This record gives sequence, structure tokens and C-alpha cells, in this order.
Amino acid sequence: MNKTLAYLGFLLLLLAASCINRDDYKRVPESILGYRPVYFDSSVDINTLIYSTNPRTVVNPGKIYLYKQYLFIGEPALGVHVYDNTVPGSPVPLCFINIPYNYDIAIKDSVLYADTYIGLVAINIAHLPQVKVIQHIRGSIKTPPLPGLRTVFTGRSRISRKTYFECIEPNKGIVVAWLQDTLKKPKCYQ
Amino acid sequence: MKNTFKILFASLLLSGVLVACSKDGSNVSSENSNTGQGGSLAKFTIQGNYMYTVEGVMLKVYDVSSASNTVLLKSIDLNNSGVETIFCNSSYLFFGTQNGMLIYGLTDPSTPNYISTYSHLMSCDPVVVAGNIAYVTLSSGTRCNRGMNQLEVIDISDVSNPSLLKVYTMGNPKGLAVGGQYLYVCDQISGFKVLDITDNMDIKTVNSIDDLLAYDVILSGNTLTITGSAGVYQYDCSDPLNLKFLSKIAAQK
Repeated sequence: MNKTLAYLGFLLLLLAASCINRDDYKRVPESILGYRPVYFDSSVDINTLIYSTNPRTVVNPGKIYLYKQYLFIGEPALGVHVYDNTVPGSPVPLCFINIPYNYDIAIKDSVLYADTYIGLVAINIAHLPQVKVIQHIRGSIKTPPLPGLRTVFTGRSRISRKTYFECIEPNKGIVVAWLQDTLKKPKCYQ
Repeated sequence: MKNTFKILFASLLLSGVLVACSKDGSNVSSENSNTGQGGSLAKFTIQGNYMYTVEGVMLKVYDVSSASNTVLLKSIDLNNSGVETIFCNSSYLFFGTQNGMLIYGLTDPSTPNYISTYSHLMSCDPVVVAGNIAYVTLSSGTRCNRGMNQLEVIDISDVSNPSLLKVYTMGNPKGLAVGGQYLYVCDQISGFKVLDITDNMDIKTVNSIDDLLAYDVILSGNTLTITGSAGVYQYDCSDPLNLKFLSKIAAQK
């Protein structure tokens, strides 16, 4: 109970600190570059974000990983290419696993662990090219910090400006990323 | 009866842990286990029933014993801002960071414990380990532009007090793999290199592919899988002095 109260208090404090009082709000431009929160709604089926497609062309080869007869080639931030590497002299493209914001993988017992913008996911790859998300390891989700203060160079001097952002609406889910965008008279800043 | 089971189970577990790590110093588990193999730039590694990942400044430990129920066990602050890579041999975790190599112990694999730091100048660097020797490459790059370009050979027979044996100047070395008496180094703009490490005080380049611009490599059996901006290459290295081209998956920009 005390913990909950403390948490609520902290939230209130955060809200108080990040919202603009009425006088200041008048000075907020009609339109300004800021950040929009990207939410992850836990009711969304994660298999709509992580899925297998036909093989794609390798564009930016990232990290590589070998498992059984398969060769995995990361496509940074997009997912992994899967090749049947039974004969290393002629790897055969098998599929592409779409995993948003993925950079690293590891595999054990036909379970592929991958980092994504919503934390770590465990994907069943026992039936490639079919894949299925087994688990979303929620303990690993965290709200990323808001990108830092904007620094503007004006001739000789440097002015640090406030970072404006669209206020967080907790009922929309967990904030997993910040997207730079033009905001219309945003109510929150940092 | 119950005790017999307990002992059986414990010994099974123990043998699992023992076979889970590699003998030849590559980032791989035993050949019989169902764990894959990553390159030296990996930030994820699985050993036995545990997965270790570097996420920002944190080392995270996951219990991966059950395929359907992975559990985050620990988040350990590495107290180091630029952790880039993770490597495991049977008893230790080695972290390549921008200012040195960190060593953590796996006496209790669910709770890696800090052992020591080997510090060097600001640089970017992965690490591989074979026996009592750690090989660390340092390279200059966009994120660590004060870096040196060299290979450091570090004696880790006393893990609590790693000591530098020798430094070798390189072009712009990144990923590396070790197998037997050879070290394979992705020297990026300077090509792919095979070094003879029979004598660590006198390491020699014995083979190189100058036009193979790569940044990471996996050694698996007699096959080298090499990744670079132009694509992924595979070579047969049964004779490291005479690498045989097997295939290339070309990147299309």
C-alpha cells in the first residue's frame, strides 16, 4: 500500500515537473519539433510484429549466427535472414524473420532469443520457415529516456532549448520509443 | 531413493554445465548441445541453462532452461559505459568494453561475480579467449576515434590480475576467432588475416585475403563464416595457410 502511494506520488511529481503552467503555455509555438511517444499495447498480438516472410536480399549484413544447419544474418533494426547452410559452398535462402529493432540473437533448443524495441522475445524456430513467438519477456521492457535537450547554434552562442513532447497517456500502453515529429502546441516539456 | 535421484539430477546438471562451454575458445557450446554459435561481436551468449546479454550498461541473466518460460533472473550493473561484446569460456564471462576487458566469474552461473578489469586506452574491442590467453583487438572508429589499432595478448592465468604479454600493430582490427594455433582477425580495410599464435610472444601473419573487408567471423569446424559490408563469405580453413573460398552471399545496396 505504501509502495503504491509512493509510486503515485512520484508519478504526480513527474507530471507536475513536466507540464507547462498556463503562462508558459502561451509562449509555446503553434508548431515545434518534438517527440511523440511510441506505445506498446500489450493486447496487440506480438505475432503481427514478428513473423516470417519470403527470403529478402541482404542489404546491410549485421551479426552472424550459426545453429545446426542454419546460418542467420542480421539485417540491423529489421530482422534476420535465414539460410540453409547444410552445404557452406551453396547456402540456400530460406526466409526472413521480421523483428523490429533487432540487433542480436542467440539460439538454444530451437528457441531464438532476440532483442526488439519491446524487450526480449523468444521465438520458436523448430519449423522453419514458419516461426512463432513463444514469449515476450516483459521484465526487459523499459521506457527509453527522452532524447536530450536540443542545442541550437546561433552565431557565437549556444542556446539549449527545452525538449517538447506529447504528454504520456498511460492508458495507451508502455512507452517503448520516442519518435521525432512536429508537434502542435505540445503541453509537456523537459 | 529420493537422494539417488537428487544426486543423479545434480550430476546431470553438472555435466550439462561442464559440456556447455567450449574447449577451443570459440563462442560456442558443446557440439552435442543444442546451442548455436555467434561471432566475437555478439552481445548475447548462452551457456548451459543461462543466457547472458549486454543491454546498455547492464548484464542481464536469463534462465533459459524452459523453452516456454524464460525468466529474467538478474540485472547487474557493469559500471562501465561502453560495453560492446560478451564472450564466455567454461568458467568466466569476458566483456569487451571501450576502455578495457572485464572478467566475471561463473562459479554460480545465475549470479556472475566481478573478478577484475584489464584497462587500456579508449578504444573499441572484442575479446576471445583460448586457454590462459585473451586476445583483444582495439580499433579506431567513429564511436571511439581516439582508439589505437592493435592486437593485445593478455595472460589471464591469474584472472584476478590479467597482465599484458605483448601488443601487435594492426590495420583496423575488429572481430576475431581462435582455433588451435591460429587466430583469425577481421582487419577491416586491411583485409582478413590468419595469424600463427604458436608463440604468443612472436605472433606472425601467415596468410591474408587483402580484398576481404570484414568485421566479424565465426569458426565452426573447418569453416569460417565471415561478415562484412559487401556480404557474408564462407571459407574452408582445414589448411589455414591455404583458405579455400566456398561461397559468398552478396549484399545489395
